[in-house]
Amino acid sequence: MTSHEEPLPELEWSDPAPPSAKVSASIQQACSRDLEKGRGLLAWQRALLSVVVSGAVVAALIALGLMQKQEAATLRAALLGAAGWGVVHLAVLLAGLARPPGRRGSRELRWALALGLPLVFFVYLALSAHSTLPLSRFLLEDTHAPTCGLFTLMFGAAAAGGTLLVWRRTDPLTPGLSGALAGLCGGLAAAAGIGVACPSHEAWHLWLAHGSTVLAFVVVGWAVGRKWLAP
Amino acid sequence: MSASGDASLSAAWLGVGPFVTDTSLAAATLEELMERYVDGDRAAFEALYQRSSPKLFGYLLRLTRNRERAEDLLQVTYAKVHRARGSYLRGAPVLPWFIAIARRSFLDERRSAKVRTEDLSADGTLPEPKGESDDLSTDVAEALERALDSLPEAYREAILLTKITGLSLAEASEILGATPTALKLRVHRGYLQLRERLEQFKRR
Repeated sequence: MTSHEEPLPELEWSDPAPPSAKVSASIQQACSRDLEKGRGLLAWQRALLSVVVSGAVVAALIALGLMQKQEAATLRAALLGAAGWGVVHLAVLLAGLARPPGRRGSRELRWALALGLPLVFFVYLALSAHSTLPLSRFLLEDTHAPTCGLFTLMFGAAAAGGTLLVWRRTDPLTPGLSGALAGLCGGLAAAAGIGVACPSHEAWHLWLAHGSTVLAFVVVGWAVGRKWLAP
Repeated sequence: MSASGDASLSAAWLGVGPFVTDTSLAAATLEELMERYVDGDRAAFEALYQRSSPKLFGYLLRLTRNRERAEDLLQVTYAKVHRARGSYLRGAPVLPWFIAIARRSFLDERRSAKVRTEDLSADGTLPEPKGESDDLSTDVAEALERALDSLPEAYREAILLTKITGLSLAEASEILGATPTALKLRVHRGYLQLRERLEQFKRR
């Protein structure tokens, strides 16, 4: 047993005088207004709405991909990848946001999820790349990357923003962390979807135009979540 | 989590189950009262206020060391609770939910007070008012409160949340952003310092 685990006898704390009757009456009056408007969405309804938002983003990107003439095998692999990341997205949503605050598991584990999954996504992109150009050549030759990155950012902003809005004011305990997980959901939806829409399989392109946006949305989600997700 | 805990969480998630039943207000848990309040039950809010406000006010009073400011912050906290009640996710522990809102309101107020360059003490907290000892019944109780005030903020908050407000280590660590182990250590060290200061007081 370490020293901080040794029990100490309890101290007796006195209860302070209650707030004044005037203050209590004022609070009771203020909190009795518009009571009929209180009921919000249940957790499963919010989760479903988040899936719809991300699903719409992925569906739009898949539609873009189907309009292009890609090889069937390449398209199939990209669709399988998107489906796999869809499952991961759902798991993050259910474990990180859909459970009530205070019952969402350890903060460390959720941070590991928020920061570790973008890294796993980078590894997935590395494994799915068909070629790797030298960085200098990639920077000179891949004129498509900025457009592709912009597309991923736009679609990711729609998915992450939608998810953050759906979970607005729901977490006073860890709003930044929950925001990071909402950002991760949005970023993953966009990056997995763009994998179907974009025909490029060059490693630098995948990392910079597709993968880096996931990490960016985790950071943005953390910053926005601190404001939006706290009541 | 226990099987019954899982079951109640699932029921809360789906918005069904034994949450809004005919349980009497006196026997209802804070979570049940909160759910009734969210559903528009005025009496449930009154019961919720009666049960939660002493802990919340005690917490704010010890944070601010000023009765007037604590009352202001109590009003701000309940106003925020009222505004955000539709976002309350059923099954969430209510007291940590309220305390986290109260703490954020306090930190926001302290930050804006700093911006307004009010008369703050060295650690950035509001100065302790004179003549507030009527809140405390005995000299020992007063000495204990003074000893608590003199602790470093990290120890003081850890003791305030766990030993005085009654949150679990897991709940308090969520609010303070520390690991439960680190928090346990802070509580232990804080308690050792408190005891030392109380011994000094008793020897006088």
